[in-house]
Amino acid sequence: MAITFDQQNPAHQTALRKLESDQIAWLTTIRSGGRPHSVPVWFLWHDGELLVFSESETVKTRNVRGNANAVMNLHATPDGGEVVILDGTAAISDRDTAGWLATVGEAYERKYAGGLWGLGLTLEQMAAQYSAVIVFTPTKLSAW
Amino acid sequence: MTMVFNEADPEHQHALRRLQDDEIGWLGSVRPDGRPHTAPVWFFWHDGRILIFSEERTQKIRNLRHAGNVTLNLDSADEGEDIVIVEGTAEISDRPAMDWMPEMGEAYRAKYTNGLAIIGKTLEAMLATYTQVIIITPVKLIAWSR
Repeated sequence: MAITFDQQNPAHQTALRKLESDQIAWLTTIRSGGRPHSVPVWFLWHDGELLVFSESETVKTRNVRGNANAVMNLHATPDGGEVVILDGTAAISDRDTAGWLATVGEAYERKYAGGLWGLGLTLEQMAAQYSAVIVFTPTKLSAW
Repeated sequence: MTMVFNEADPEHQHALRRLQDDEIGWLGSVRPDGRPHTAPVWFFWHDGRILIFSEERTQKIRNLRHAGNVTLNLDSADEGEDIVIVEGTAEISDRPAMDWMPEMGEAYRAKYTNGLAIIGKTLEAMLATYTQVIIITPVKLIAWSR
């Protein structure tokens, strides 16, 4: 089930724009002991889902394997405007990052050219290190 | 001040300033059914703890009555620098928000002068419906500014 964006709703249009262009999102997952875990991530909005490339053994990948329920939110304005929160489910893709690059590599490199340069990594080097792909499927959009 | 903050650490000093000055935080909590919940909140750093005023019938209050483990994170810089994440435990104060005002009302009003103008409410009017006080005790600070 994919979320739909209401063309008549300015907050939804802002959400869509931010999903396409924001550099940072926050991923909140649940640890095995039940405590929440929040971490900032790079992401790519692709076909109604958010792709997050991760090292394979991180708290977030462990959490997602144990409990697929997740929330992603984007940055707001400093006074609390442009709120975008997505409830959904997350899974580790069967394909690794290198495998996904055939599909999304160009878009990802365009979006994070500056970020990759800052890390001193080529796209291929990044894909080797951040080899796990978390696929976040939103089920609910909250935007205002 | 709890031991969570190391006053000799410049990253922690910077995080503490942001916890005092930033207007919006993201509160992560866990729903009774185990799913995570994230909501933007106004918050107030007070005596080593974080106070959040809430209406009574909100998802976050329901969550915290069930389980008190929370995260509070601040927006980073656009490129992902300047991370502040607080992990902690939350409880709901026995005292209504109005009872907290003598000790921190003027400081709260000063912090949210702009915010109150945006929502078009006085602090007193806000507290008429935001009666609940969530108190977060930090357990762990994750902060880096590079």
